[in-house]
Amino acid sequence: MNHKLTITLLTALLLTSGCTAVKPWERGNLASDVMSWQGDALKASLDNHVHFSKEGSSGGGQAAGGGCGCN
Amino acid sequence: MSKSTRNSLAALAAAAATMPAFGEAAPTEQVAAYRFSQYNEADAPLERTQTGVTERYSIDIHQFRYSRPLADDWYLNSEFQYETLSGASPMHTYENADGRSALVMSGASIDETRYDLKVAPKRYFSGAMNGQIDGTLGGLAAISIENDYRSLALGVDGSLELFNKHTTLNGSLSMSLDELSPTDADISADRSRADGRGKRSVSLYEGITQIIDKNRVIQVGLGYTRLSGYLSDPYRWEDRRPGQRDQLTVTAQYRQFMPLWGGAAIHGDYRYYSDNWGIRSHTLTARWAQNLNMAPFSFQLTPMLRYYRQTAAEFYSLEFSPPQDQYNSSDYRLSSYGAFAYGLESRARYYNWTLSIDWQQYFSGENFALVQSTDDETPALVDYSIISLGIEYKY
Amino acid sequence: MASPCKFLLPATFAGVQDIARSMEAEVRRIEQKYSRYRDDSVLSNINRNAGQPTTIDDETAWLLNYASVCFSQSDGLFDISSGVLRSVWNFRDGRCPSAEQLHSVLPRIGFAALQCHNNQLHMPATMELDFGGIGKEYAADAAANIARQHGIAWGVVDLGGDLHIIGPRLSDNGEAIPWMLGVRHPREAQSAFASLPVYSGGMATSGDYERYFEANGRRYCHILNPHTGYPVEHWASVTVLAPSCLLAGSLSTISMLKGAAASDWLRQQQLHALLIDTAMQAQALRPTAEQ
Repeated sequence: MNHKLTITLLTALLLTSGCTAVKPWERGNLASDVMSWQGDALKASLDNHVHFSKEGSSGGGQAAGGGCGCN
Repeated sequence: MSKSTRNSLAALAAAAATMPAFGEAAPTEQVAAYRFSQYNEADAPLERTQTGVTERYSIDIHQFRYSRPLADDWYLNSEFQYETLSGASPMHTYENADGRSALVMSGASIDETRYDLKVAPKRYFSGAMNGQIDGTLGGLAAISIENDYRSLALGVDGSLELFNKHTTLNGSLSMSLDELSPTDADISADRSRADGRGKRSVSLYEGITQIIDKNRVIQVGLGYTRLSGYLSDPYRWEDRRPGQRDQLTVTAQYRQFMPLWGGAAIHGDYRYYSDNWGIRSHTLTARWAQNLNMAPFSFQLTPMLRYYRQTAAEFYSLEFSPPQDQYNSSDYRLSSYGAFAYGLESRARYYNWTLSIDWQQYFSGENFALVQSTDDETPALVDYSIISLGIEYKY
Repeated sequence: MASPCKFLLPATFAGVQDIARSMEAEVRRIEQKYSRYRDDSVLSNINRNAGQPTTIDDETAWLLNYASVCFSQSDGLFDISSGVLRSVWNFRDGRCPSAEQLHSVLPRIGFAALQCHNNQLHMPATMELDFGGIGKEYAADAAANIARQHGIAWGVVDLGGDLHIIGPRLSDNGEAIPWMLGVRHPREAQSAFASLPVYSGGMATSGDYERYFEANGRRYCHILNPHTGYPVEHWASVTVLAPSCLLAGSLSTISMLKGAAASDWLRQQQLHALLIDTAMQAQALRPTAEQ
């Protein structure tokens, strides 16, 4: 019960903090492929790999892959 | 009329609101894709190189992707990449007697191949635990093999939908174990010291995605990585780095839909990075993704602009022979610099087929750092371009 | 599905055939899962297992939860366990059940007796469920969602008169053109009683003309009141526009069951609706200004 109350309160908080409730049937735009977080999977892999090996800092994404001895 | 009747619609709509849980279940299609990229680095400046070798790396990259549903709620994503590399890389940069930076390139052209395999199964939970849990749980295993370097990475990641899917929590934990085995280990003390040494990393990421309204969504994340082991570069002279590196990232990504032609979106990505070697960096990426429908084709064009800048590591120096008991590196990647990149991604879709052509150009320079600019010159800083051709089939 | 189903989608959208195929596959999946006529359906399994616990999947649990909200919001009139009444009402031969017959089945109805915890469903052995009032409507929403997820912005999913409007067409200068959707004349199958402009969302009609017989000077239709066991009489049809087809379908069916009280009830829900009584007098409701 408490759990439910917390969620309700948090939802209320969310809605008053500038976020609008978006009904499932209003999510067509959000689901559009132009809205994707990372775009093409292979392109994202390669870009991350190149930036990882050519720049002094890396990270910031979800589960990172392995390293490489790239110079 | 009882008081409750007024809210019937609200009650019914609330019960119906979770519906897309089932529509958003594990993807049901199989995807096979191939992508070829050519990566080319611009030549090093001749007047600064000591050996006359100016040619830097040129890499051909072949990438394969195959994704398919496994069981009802399981989806498997796999990627294989192999690249062949040729060219030379910077071994040392130092300040000569004239106060100018001189660059020592590795002599002979290196020919190398790298293989990389990634497998990531994912389980989709939609409405599990009596409708209380919507989310995913995934695993990642990756292996990368070069003749002088091996890396194994393992990870888990998960996501959890909250507040009628207005908010998503993402988290991941991954680790990697790398092993160095420099070629011709016996030709230098640095290389033989590194031979057989290992490198470990543990990464944690926690992010939150929030739908702002029906056109806008934002994602912020916090990442932490600890690297330990042999973190120096055996191929560089006078390269002695601390055995531990703690990296912290704060990221924000923003997407806004624009109802233009076939639909468009503004992308804004930012990353702040800080580590205990003294490097701070800022990365800003902006994209405009534009859909265009021309039956039976549809196109997507995405111009991209990226700016990157970082400060130098505390032990970065251009001294020719620094004291042996001090950390030291002249690796351009630990210097203070900035970089601009721009590019264009384009894809054309025709029924099950998608063709893509991508191009990007990257420039870096010590002056692009804009702040904390130094008088030190860094002739090893790289400019590169990547051209990619891809084909994808969904069924 | 017995009734004609169609998708109206932009032919110019690349890959639209694939999208339509996956929409059709989704509709078939839901239809087969909740079909009364298939022994291997999830619904048949639930009914076979009546009297003992059945493990149900999340989608079914969700639909049952929705049905329970319908049940409580309609004061027990919308009851997916009322299908057993069909065993005593013979619409083909046009005969009313005897009082004894009715009394033998009425005690078997009552959604409140269902218990569902952690995807374990307990249903008394005498009961039987059918998803007639919500299954097809849910399928229409699911199909429309697939279209939206692929970026389709306009079109109509029509599953035998239960509609989900994906979105309006756009004119050359970018103005939204609503779909003009006909409401069937309750007494003349081929003609439209009215046309309603609809931009997006669900539209469903519940009427007394789908299956019925006439006897003793009155009309007996297939929408049966689970309390009395007798067909509803007040409205010839009720059409409701709601954000989803599932909502529209259940609201229109509940309105048929509520009888005369339905027009006040619907008005309070602040929805567009068209109610036609058996004398063919129509009443159009639209949301009043926000209070």
